Parts: sequence; structure tokens; C-alpha cells
Amino acid sequence: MTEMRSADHVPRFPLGILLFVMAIALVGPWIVPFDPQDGNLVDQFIPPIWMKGGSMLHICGTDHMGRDVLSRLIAGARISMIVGFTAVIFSGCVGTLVAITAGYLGGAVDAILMRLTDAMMSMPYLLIGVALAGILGPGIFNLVVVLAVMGWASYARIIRAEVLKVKTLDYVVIARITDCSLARILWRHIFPNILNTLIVLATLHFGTSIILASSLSFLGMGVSPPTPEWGLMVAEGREHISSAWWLSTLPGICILLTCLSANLLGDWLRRRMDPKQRQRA
Amino acid sequence: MIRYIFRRLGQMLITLILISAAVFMLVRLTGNPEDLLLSPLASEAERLVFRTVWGLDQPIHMQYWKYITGIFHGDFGTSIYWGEPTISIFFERFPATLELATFAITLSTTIGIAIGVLSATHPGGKIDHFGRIFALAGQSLPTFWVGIMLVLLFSVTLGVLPTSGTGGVAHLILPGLTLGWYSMAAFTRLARSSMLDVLDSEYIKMCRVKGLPEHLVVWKHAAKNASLPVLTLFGLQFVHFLSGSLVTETIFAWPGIGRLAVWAVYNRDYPVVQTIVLLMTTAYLVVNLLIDVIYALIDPRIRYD
Repeated sequence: MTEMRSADHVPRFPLGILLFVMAIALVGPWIVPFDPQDGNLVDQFIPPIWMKGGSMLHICGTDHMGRDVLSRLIAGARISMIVGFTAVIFSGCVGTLVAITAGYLGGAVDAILMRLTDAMMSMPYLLIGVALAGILGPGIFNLVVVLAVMGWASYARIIRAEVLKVKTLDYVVIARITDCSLARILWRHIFPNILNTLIVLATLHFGTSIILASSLSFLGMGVSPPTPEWGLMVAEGREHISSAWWLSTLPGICILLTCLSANLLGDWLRRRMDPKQRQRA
Repeated sequence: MIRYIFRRLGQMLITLILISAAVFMLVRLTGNPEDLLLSPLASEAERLVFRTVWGLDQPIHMQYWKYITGIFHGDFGTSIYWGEPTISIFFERFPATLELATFAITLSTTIGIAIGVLSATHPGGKIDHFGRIFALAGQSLPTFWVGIMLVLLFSVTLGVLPTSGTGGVAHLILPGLTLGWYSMAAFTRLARSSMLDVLDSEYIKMCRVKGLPEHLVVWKHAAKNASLPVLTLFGLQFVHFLSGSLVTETIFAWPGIGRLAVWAVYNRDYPVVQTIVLLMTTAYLVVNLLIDVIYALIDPRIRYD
């Protein structure tokens, strides 16, 4: 019963957090109290405001280079959002295109594209991601390329199944008989029907992308220092874990909250759009 | 069944050829080991020798052909850095990864299944709520952060467990938890939902009607049928641990394949990267196939043809 009820209300907490992070990402450069990439070594390792020795100036403290942690967290929101959104858009577009082509055309095209999808999905995810990221080199653009290459297959497989279902519906068949152009059938009749599934997949993929991106940065294969990326901040803080715990902890909490919100929202959307799923956890 | 296995083996071969070709090409397109390994002052003659020794002077498709035919003779290439066969470097490191993966899978299955089953038998109760939060948090927590937080709590603050390195069981606990955390959540979710499904069935009602004690109903009669999907996840997670321990091994300085992979990618030791990707993908695919076959053997209702 609780699941039924929670399925009917928009989850306010996750939605609020996501909107907040997006807003911060948008206005970040204008609200940062200090330069996120430039610090004063005199100010290094100032603890957050609520601890002994904390300063009003640096609410979340400073790192080993004397940079303001709050400013870096704010700037990091922008990077995470850019990476998350572009990764989702790229993989969503490629995946949907493959799915519609394979599902609608069928035959040999379908067979080839789906074997490719199977191959993509049966690879050890992180290992291939790291190898690819290492080969391409660091940088936000390369990071997005890696995420897109790793991400499109799950869209392709799930949406293709939807296309196969929609394709046989009467009105699509009639559209074909009445000589609708292929583009019109795909865009006006097939696409709106798979949109629900696409939105759910994209929301869930958003969280996964942010985690994979920060993991790659953590391993030194994502963006390079001094970029204020959350994963990279965790990695940099690791060396000072025994003296300055906040350096690794705070950016991790940001990643956790963002991904948790995306996952909660995605789960809710899935229940919402598929009534059969409502009874399942 | 036999036909199915052969079809799957064929698919596996295609996947492996695709991956090996992709990695092989990409690796050569984007960086030159010459610049990394030779001094910038190396003479043209030295460079020529280097290229000839490593076969870099030949066209790329010839290099790939040599690589592929070599594999069928058990030659996976030689590490540019160490000058040893990559296959022996791989198997030198493999036991450490296997040890970590085995420990992590034991940890995540026992804890995950226990929480999942208890959630299913007491739906809406405290454990169920805890299990739900646990499952959600597990999905959203980045592995590298979990590892660092565990170090912060158990090594830095409490000082009860070592921060890194190898040794006895004490050295295994933190990396095992870090690696196993994510799948612990997955096991909880799956064990709960499949247990709920089974507990709802007629034969369980029958067991209850005839007055069997609850622990026998759950752990003997229901657990058998509920374990099928969990078994699939077990196999998947285990290979996932073997190939995906890069982050964990890096955090805890664990001398296994994961750290070797990160190191090799970082230092552009191509032959090592290629070998790890190829062998790990093979392991991944073989285990996937084994799971599907075992599944059909255990559950006679499943037929693939």
C-alpha cells in the first residue's frame, strides 16, 4: 500500500535537490565567494565554519592549496551537470536512433545492430571505460565521449522492444497503408510512444553517468587538475584524509545527493508510467 | 541446448574480435610509446631499432594480424615497461584480485540476502525500511567515496583496521566492503522481491496450512525457488568484481589486476592493457554463458531453442 501511495505524489525532496543543483550550476560563476581554481597557500587547511578554528570567510573550509572548498563545490556542480546532461543526451540520441532503426526496419539491419548492442552490453563496464578514457586522454569532452560510448546500448535494447510493440499497432499499420512518409511515421507515430521509456531511462542514466564520470576523474582519467570536479576533489582530499577530513567528505556528499535524487526520481517516473510496476519494489 | 551454446560461443567470438580490434586501433591512434619510453634525445637510429623491435614500423592491420595469430600460440604480447610476457604479469596479479573478489562476494551475498529475506518475511517492518534505504543508498554511492569514508571511520578515527596493503583478514575487510557494497544493495533488492513472489505461491500456502514451522517454510521450501534469480546475480557480480575492482584496488593499494590496469593505461603499456581487456572480457562472457546454461539445467521450464 505504501508503494501505491508514494507512486502518486511527486517526490519533492529529490526533485528539489536536483533543481537546486541545476540552479547552482547555472548561476555558479556569479555566486562563488572566491576563485575556485586559485588559492592562497597561507590559508591552507582552514576547517569548515562549524569546527574549531573555522572562519566565517570559508564556510566549507579550504584545501591543501588554500582554495575555498565551497567555491569549488559550486563550480563542480556546473561540471557535473554539463557532463551528466551531455552524456545522457548523446547516449539517448544514439541509442534511440539505433533502437528505432533496428526495431522498425527489422531483418538484417536489426540483427547486426542488436548483435553490436549485445556486444556492448556484455563488456566489463568500468575496465573498458578506464581503458577508453586513458586512451583518449583527459578533458571534459573526452569524458562525455566515453560516457556516451558506454551508455547508448541500454537505451537501444530497451527502446527497441518498445518499438517492436508499437510497430504492430493498428494506427501505425494504417499510417503505412495510407502512404505516410517513413520519417513521418517514425517521428509522429513511433517516437511519442517511446518517449515515456526514454525519459525514465535518461533519468536513471543521469545518476549513473555522474558516478562513472567522477570515478574516472578519481582514477585520474577524467578531467585533470585544477578543474573543480567532485570526483577529483575526493581524490585530492584522500592524501589529507587524516588531518582534513572535509576535503574528501563534502564533494562525496554532493555526488551522493545528486545521484540519489536522480535515482529516486527515475524510480518514481518508472512506477508512474508503468502501472504494472507499481506493486514491485 | 547444444545449438544454443554454439550460437552463443559464436557471438562471444565476434564480441571479442570487435573489442580487441577497437582497443588495438584506438591505442595506436592516440599516442606513441616511442615518445614515452625513449629519451627525447634518442637518435634516429635508436628510434628505428625501437620501432623494429616492437613491430611499430609495420602497417596497423599487419600488426593486428600478428597480434591475433600470436594469441592462438599463447603469445599475448610483451610488456613494453617490464619486457616480460603480459600473460605471466597478468597471472602474477590475478590471485590477489581473486582473493579480494571471493571475499567481497561472500560478504555481499550473506549480508544482502539476509537483509532481503528478512525484509520479505516482515514487509513494512523496521528491517524492510532499513533494507529499502540501504538498497537505494547502495546504488547512489560512488565506490571510491565509500572506500575513503570507511578508511576515515575505521582506520583514521577508530584505528582498528589497516588503511591499505595486503596481509590477513584484517586487510581484506575494508576493500571487501568497498567492493561489495554496491552489489550488497542489489542482492537485498533481488532477494526481497523474489522471496515475496515465492511466498505468495500456492505451495507455500500449502506448507503453512499443514503447519510447518515458519523457519522451515522460509529457509527450506521458499528459499530453494527464490534462489534462482539470486544465483544469476551471484555469477554476474562475481565477474563484475574480478574486472571492476580498479577503484577499490587503487584506494587500498591492493596488488591485483585492477591496479595493474590503471597503471598500464596511465603509462601507455599497450600490450598489458590489451591483455587485461581481452582476458577479463573473455572471463565475463564465459561466466555469462555458464550462468544461462546452469539456469536451464536447474529450472527445467527454461528452454532456449
